[in-house]
Amino acid sequence: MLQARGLTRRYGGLLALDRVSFELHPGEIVGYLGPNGSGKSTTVNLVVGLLDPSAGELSLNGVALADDPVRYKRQIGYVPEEPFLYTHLTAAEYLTLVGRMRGIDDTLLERKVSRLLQLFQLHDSRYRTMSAYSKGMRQRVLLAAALLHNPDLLVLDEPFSGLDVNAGLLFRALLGLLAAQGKMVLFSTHRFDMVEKLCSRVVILSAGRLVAEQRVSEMDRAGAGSLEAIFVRVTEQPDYTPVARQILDAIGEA
Amino acid sequence: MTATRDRRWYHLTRHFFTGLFDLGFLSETGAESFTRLILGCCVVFFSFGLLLARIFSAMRALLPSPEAFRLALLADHAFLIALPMWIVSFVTVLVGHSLFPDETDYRVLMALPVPRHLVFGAKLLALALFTSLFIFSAHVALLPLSLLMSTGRFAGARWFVPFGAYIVASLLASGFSVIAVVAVQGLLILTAPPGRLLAVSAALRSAMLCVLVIALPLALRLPAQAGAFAAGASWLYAAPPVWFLGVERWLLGDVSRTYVMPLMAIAGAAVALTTALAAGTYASLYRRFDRVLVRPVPAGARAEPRLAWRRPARRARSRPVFAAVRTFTLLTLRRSVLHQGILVALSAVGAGLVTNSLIGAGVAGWFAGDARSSRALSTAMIWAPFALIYVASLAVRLALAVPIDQRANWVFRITESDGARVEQLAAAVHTVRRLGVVVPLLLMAPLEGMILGWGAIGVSAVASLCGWLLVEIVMRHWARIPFTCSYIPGKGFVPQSILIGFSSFVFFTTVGSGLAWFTVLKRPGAFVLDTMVFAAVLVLRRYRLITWRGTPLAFEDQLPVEVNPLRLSLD
Repeated sequence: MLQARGLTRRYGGLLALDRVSFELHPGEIVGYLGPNGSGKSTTVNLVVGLLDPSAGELSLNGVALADDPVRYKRQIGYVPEEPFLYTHLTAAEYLTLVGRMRGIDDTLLERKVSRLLQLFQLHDSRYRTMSAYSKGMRQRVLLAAALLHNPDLLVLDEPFSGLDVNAGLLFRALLGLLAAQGKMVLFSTHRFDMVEKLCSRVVILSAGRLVAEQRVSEMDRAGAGSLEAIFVRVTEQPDYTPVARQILDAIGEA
Repeated sequence: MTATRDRRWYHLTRHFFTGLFDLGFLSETGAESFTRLILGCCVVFFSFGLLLARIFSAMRALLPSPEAFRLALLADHAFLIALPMWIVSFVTVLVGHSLFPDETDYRVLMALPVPRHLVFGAKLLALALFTSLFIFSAHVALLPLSLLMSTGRFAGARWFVPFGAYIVASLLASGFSVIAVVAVQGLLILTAPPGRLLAVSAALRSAMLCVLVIALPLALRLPAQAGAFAAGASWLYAAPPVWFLGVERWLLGDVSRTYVMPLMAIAGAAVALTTALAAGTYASLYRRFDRVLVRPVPAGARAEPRLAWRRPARRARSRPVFAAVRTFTLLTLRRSVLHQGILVALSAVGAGLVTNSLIGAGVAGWFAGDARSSRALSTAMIWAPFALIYVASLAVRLALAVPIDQRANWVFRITESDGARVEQLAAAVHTVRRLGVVVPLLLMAPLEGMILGWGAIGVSAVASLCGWLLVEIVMRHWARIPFTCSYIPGKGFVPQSILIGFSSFVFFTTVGSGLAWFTVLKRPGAFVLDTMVFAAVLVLRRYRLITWRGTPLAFEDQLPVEVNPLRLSLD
């Protein structure tokens, strides 16, 4: 189980995340929503150990990040929002690099890399450097790299951006099966439709604070309306129609 | 509307021009620091230039006759033509990736209502402005020296006529060097096989940088070649700066020497050929912009690469993290134009120094069977591996310090651990040792064997020991996985850094080659000294391993703290 307790992060004088607490249980896919600048990426960076919290603590399956960061990070697979990769490497080279950094035995690693490249439809391009890959292909490489060591927690930051329909469907099916196997998935996204289809629970952030947390199946029963309606209400989003009108006026200006 | 359209030329040219100065691999702080470094180097070179002017002035005063002056002037002008040519070629090779509109320009600009001729025209104009800036600066910087060389007691009242001819010939020579680089790069774009363009381009640029750096010491020897000009030596026809000396003489109507007209003809043919090639490649790219620059790579067309991890070695199986970083390092050095360029260009400085030293010691005569210079040649040969090791080790270290895709380093940050850190850093030291010590030794071995005989084994052994010590010294504070940490060049006081670098080079090569002499001659005490060096290596290695266990990996380079507390109080 992932436990986040009172997570706080300051950048100089700016409070990016303010005492956020949540839990993630085995078999759960949790949608992590929030407008831009709400602290989503900061939370993700804290959870995967790329940033240190200013206050608060994180633990995964009883291992606290502060006490044993290596054991903690060993249980996590991460797909970042932007496909930051060493693009001068081929997909096979990159996966081998990550696998070795994770301490996977070379013989097993070679087998896994080969199978994953086949299954993620990257096999034909395996000898091309990733500089020639599309965004969707890079996204698939990142997912393969995140799954290589069979992690207990998968942290996904906008994983569907750039994926074509087939890859998106594969991704969805895969996440469902991973959850059925008892894996945890933290899924940060802007796409309400995906959250409604995939997630068992949703956590919503606004201005660095946790403003809502609810099971997706309970949303209709509670009469709260669609996820989008809830999101707009709890994050106090303004009506954007006047702004859209102003944009129209601006582009029509002679 | 017309005014707006006309300003597109200006905006696009400015865009391309500023792009030629872009140091994308450096952070904002790094770019600022790099500017400071360049300014510092300029100050040092300017001071050196003043010293050079005084030396030339003193040498001129010693010339005995007008003929000696004329021959010295020929050699000096060849040098003065060569220096700007070298600077401009070097800069043009450095920006080799921006000489033609590329795929990004195609995708971004062709989607806009911008005609193709505007894109190509603006690119050419930006390139012309950029190279003119360097041609102009180089000539202005050399103006005091060239004026000093052209005047003197034998120069006569009309000294400005040969000076003017020199300026015209030198500008033409610098222009030629730009066009030649453009032509080579253009031919490469048009002829390189699909999918290999980047790799071939990287290799070609590294090779060109290497040739240029090795040529620099040869250019610096030109002022001492008055004798060769008197005799009309055959190598004059193979030296591009001398071709343009032919142009200068022709402009002055001085065709009395037999080699002037052939040199003039070679210069004319070279300019015509390279201009035609450069213009042809530009025209061809203009017509086939979309097809040439956006060539799809056929899937599965490439053969399986011969990669280190395709055959998991015993060592890799037992040390996967070490193997991961080592492979990553070697692949990056093989594929990244920037890193390969740094490594090759700086190592070529060492190769240039060695070549220069061996030529000076009479290696050519030795090959021709002249045994008179064997003592000087042996000295130069024993010194050579130390010089090469020193320069190559620092070149590899610098190449490993410059980042690639820095935002992709998250994969190393989330897998960092105390145990893995030592392995990750050890891979960097291993690379510096292999490329900075072992490769130079292997490259020097055949020549050493020919000149020193069995003594070469002793020299190589001492050189490898000293090289190992050098690697331990330069890597003692190393705390980064290669290519993953931001880089701030010129962090220290530049003249001081240059002085330290130069002094340590002299110290390392002098002491190292002295120790090698001692060992080869089996002098008493040589074995003790060798053992002491070995002990120092072991101590430093131990210190390094202990330091690594307690130091976290660095992913952000830091400027040194500006205030150093004196700690005068007792508490």
